Amino acid sequence: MKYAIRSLLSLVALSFVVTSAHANDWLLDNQKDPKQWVMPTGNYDAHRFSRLTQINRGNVHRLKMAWNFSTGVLRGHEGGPLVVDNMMYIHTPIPNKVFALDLDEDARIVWEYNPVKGGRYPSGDTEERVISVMCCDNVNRGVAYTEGEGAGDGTVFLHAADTTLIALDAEDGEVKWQVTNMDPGTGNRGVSASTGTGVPFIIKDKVGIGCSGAEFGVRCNWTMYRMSDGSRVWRAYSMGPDDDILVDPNRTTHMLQPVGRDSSVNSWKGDQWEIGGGSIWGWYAWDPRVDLLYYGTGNPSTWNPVVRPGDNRWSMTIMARNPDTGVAKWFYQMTPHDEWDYDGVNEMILADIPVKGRKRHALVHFDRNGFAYTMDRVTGELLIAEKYDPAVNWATHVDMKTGRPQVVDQYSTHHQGEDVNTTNICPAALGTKDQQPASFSPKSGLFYVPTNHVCMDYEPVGNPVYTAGNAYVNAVLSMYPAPGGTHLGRFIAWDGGTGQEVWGIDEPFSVWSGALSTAGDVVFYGTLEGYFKAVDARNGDELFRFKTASGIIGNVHTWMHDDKQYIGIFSGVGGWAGIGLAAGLTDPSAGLGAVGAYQSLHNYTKLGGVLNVFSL
Amino acid sequence: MKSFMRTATQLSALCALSAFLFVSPLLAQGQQVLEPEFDAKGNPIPVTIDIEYDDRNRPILPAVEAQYNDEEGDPAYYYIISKNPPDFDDLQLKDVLYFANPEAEIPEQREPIVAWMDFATYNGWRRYHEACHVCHGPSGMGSTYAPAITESMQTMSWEDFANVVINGRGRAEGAAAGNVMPAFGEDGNVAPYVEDLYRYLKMRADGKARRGMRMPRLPKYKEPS
Repeated sequence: MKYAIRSLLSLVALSFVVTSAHANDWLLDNQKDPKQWVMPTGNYDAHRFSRLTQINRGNVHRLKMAWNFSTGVLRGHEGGPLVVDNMMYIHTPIPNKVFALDLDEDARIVWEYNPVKGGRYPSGDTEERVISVMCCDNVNRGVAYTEGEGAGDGTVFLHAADTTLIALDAEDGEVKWQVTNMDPGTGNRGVSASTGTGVPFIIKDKVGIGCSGAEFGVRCNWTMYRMSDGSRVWRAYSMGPDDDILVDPNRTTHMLQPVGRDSSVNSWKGDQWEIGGGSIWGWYAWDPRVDLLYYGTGNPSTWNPVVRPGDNRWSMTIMARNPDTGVAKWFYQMTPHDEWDYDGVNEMILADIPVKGRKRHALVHFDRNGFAYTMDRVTGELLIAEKYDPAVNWATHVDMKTGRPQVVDQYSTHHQGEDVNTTNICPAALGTKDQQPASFSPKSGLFYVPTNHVCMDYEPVGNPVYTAGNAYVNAVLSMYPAPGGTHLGRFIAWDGGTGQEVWGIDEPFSVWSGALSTAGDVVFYGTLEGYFKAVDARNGDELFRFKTASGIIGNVHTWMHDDKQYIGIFSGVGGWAGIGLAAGLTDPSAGLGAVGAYQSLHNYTKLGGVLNVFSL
Repeated sequence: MKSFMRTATQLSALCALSAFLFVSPLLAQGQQVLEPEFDAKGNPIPVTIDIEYDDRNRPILPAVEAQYNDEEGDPAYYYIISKNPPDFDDLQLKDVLYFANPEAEIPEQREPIVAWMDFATYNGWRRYHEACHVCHGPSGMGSTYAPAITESMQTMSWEDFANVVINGRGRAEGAAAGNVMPAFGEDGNVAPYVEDLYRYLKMRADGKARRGMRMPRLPKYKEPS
């Protein structure tokens, strides 16, 4: 009976979409307008694709810098701004400023917001304290925007580093409401030292955020707030009792089978799930037709796998949840019992593509663990799991019946044991791809994927100690280029229907920038040395490059203003790449197999956040 | 070999006890450079090192250097980072070179000098790469937003070093604005090993340990009974 009611409800929801009578359908409507860039992911399907063609394969070589804007902040600039009509909303790394620029007035700064006042974030935590518990640079991935019911004439949502979700009036930058999601201050077990880096994600009348801090033993969750007043609607933890993780043991499925009772706590030793990690900070998607929210969970804490036996569910999992209630429809755990820090947080791209000859409502996900997954996004059926970098060696393949990766003992840091250095594991902890989002072109049917080509040695350190508010990592890593090459990155075109690479471009450094593809048959991305590049969507031929002020870890976006198409990209090196690469893999004497090939990234680029805007 | 085992035992105890002992590390005193000899097959002849003790009866650990001459005849230094002292009785030239630099070609007519790193320094290496390298970069080389410790350690005293690790450092001014060093005083994975961290980083700063060494696969470390 319950099931029937649910089906009925989703039917009703479906008709709402069709008749456009949604609680708040502003984003659903405006994501279709190529003149704006209203969501960080381009649209709810996370395509990062634009139908604009003014800049195209034939003329992109004539691209020029139109204008640029310094954020005045030095550290790593991930994500990218939004464009809503004539307004642009720009975010920064800590202190997480937001600038509103009026494109009609030569990009004049209409208002500026800084959540840090007197050295403190809204939660009361000092900026110093918050910075000290950011695992991998001071990054923030962007703001969200909508208007209409619950959001008035326009509201900008910011997920600040201290985990406070802030609703700003888009008109003047005044705070409408703010709510601290977690508690970055010292104190509570499994909560302390949590931080916020991921974008807020708006669905109907609600806005949701994830959580960071798996390197500090935080038990992370997705929390949904009512957009109008910031009241909490639901919270779903990544691990814990069924009531905490919002599953229906009989209906929530994994590999099409019900997960059963206590599916999470049964997979942990004792109460370790209380500090179990499972952070959520990547890029999300929503399919309004089946009304499911998709996101991925990160690594289990600690990085020493020996002390946390079991599958550590539901870390490293793709989740599909009802956005109104939070109840999960299906899970898929990609890396049970992680031993390498292969967070499952990367973007979830929704694409209706032919898979093995049959058209599917697919979800395509390029995971840190080096496998590209194609799932049926409605049922959670696993359709394809293929390596998208041939260097990947920690598992031979994914068993399509059980969904489990077949782990190679030689590269299993658990099998090798505590205080043993397991060598030559591919990929490295930063993954074959990190959060830098791929693009899907419905025109070419291909996925354009920024990747890393890096391997590692990994030694779990014995006797880890958890102290609330302190790091809980307990593994020693060193990273270096994959064997047989000197490049640390590769930009590839991927066929999600067959699980095969179509073309690829070797890059000297990891590609840590989100891609954009357009109907003009051009694909754009940035590089760590600071090049902004345009390549031919059909074969990867380079059509344009421009050296920006700093290394690029931001995401490309595009919009139209006064009948002119613009392309925007943050430069401002940093992020995990800024740690691992700027210092680590650049010493010519570093014994990395290619002596002399690695000049320091310091030789190419320095810190500094700038929005670069190009046009013909 | 017995003396080595004794060292390891005492060190394990020392690691646990040394949490807040702000005493000057003993690395410089303990350092020895060996002039190894080789047998007819080119294998290093076993070496015995005498362990000395300080006035508190703690072992003064030798950090033994290894060296072989590079193409130009200049000495090139390598350290074996080893949890245990290498078994000199069973050490082959190829092992030494592998430990030192797995990428290096085995020279026919070279004069290798065997080296190893004591457990405390080894522990400093791994604690560093567990807790510190996220900001300060692999091997203390710095990153886009944290200074290269290999440079700061050239002027930093032991007291200052320990103080910064335990208590952290507030927001920096000027060019480094926005940089913050967290306090590790309550971190059970770091605080007890400050001295080990200092040993390792001092060795890096003094140019005694070159980076680029890849850890060989080692047998699991066993606490000596």
